[in-house]
Amino acid sequence: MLRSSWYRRFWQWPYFLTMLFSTSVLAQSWPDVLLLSHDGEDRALPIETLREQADETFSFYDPYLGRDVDIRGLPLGEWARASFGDRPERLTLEAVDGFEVVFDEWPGPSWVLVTHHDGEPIGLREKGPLRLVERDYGDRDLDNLRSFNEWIWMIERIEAAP
Amino acid sequence: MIRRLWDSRNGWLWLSLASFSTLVLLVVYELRLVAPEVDRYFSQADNITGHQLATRSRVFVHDALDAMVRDVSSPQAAAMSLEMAYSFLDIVTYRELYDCTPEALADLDTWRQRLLETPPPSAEQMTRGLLPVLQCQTEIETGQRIRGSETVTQFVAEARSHQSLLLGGILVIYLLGLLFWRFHEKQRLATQEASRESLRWMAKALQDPLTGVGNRNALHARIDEQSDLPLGLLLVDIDYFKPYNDSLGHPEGDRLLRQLVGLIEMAMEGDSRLYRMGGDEFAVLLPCASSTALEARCERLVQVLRQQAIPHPASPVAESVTLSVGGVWFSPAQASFDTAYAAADAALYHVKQRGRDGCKVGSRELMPHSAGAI
Repeated sequence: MLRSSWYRRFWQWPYFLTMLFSTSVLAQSWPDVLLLSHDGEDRALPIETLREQADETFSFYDPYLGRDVDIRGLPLGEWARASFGDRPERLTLEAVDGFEVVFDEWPGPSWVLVTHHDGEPIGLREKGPLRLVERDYGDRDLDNLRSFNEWIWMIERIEAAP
Repeated sequence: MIRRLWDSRNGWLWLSLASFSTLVLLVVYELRLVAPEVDRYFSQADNITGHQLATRSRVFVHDALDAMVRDVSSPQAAAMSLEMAYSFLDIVTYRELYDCTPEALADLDTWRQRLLETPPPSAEQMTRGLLPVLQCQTEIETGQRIRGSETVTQFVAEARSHQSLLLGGILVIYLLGLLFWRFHEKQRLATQEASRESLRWMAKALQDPLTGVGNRNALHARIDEQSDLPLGLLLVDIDYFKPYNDSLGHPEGDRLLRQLVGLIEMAMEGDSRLYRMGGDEFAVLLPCASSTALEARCERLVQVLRQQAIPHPASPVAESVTLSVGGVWFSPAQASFDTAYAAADAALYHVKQRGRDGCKVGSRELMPHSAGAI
């Protein structure tokens, strides 16, 4: 049931073509593109482009890795406004395993799309190639991973609605 | 500001309102802030967010095995699934709490690499090889479930403790609110009683204790309250009252004064007010349209007393008690009370000079266009 999302999406033509003309569907670096969906239209954005655009850097403690990490990425709110034009009412981020995070309110500057760890582009093993983190933990318990349920790894699609 | 509120005698009321407001805020805080926090913690049991990362890792191991069993030509897809499984299992908490984790990660890495080799391993080999990984994932899932249960138990205990504290706090604040309200009520009632007492004393200060009518102060207060409508002022003097007292005694004199008050009030009727100015002198203040009308009222007053024929054994002018009445018709806008009083007193003097037992209304000069006559 969980795999159905990316299997089904794989055979949708824009995705299929994107995959076909990207490096390789079967290569370890998959997925190499981020699918952007807006007003019923899908377009693919190479992950490499995102990596080049990433200019937000900071260090923080990653509760999943259990250590401090130098992060490089893009502020989600600013990036989404630039990518989708008018400020959409809702943003939905979808991972390869069907995990979804929905922003009914516009994400604040604390939310960052991460492309690099310690100066290196992140792959699947580093929960990449694109993951979402929140740099300000507030008063959340770092030992309780449930406090970070809104973090999402291996993002393959971002939908802006309407 | 607090000092000012307290000085306004509403301090207890404000404290009471503050208590009840705090109560409402506490309830809102619980509903809006704490409840969503609980919801956030427990509401994800049925969706993917509620799944353990180890479970999500297991799904990708199953995917890899499925890919090998169903389609032997897709080892790369299986390798991809194992990479995903690795990522979901590579969590520091798992490494720290479950000894099998590093070995399981190493197995996943090994089998992923073997899938990319030629020839790839068979589905049977992979199933056997990945069995320790699945067992480790089961161990993690079970362990995490137990830890979750412990967390829930602790959470429930904390929630109960929190609820007890909250209930206690609400009860205390509610009782404090009631107590402050009670203090406020007591203060309000005391203030009300003090106001009534002040009014009683003020009324007494304006009342003649012997006859019960208003005194000179009351007359002045009444004048101050009057609008600019024309008024009639009558000064009433009992003829030869001192000889009356001397012959019949002061108690009889007092009784005569009280009797006269009744008679004057009966004779004047309407909106007239009677005041005792001191000794045997009274003043009557009444709204009056003209000097002629005032004169008629004045005549009636003298006449009523004559009809009563109250015996006066010491009067040199009559066998009964008689009155001398001097009056003036004036407008408060045109003449001050002192001026009017002086004019009425002059008229009274005139009556006394003529031999008493009579009345006179005078001073047309006090009205700009006097309609009456002396």
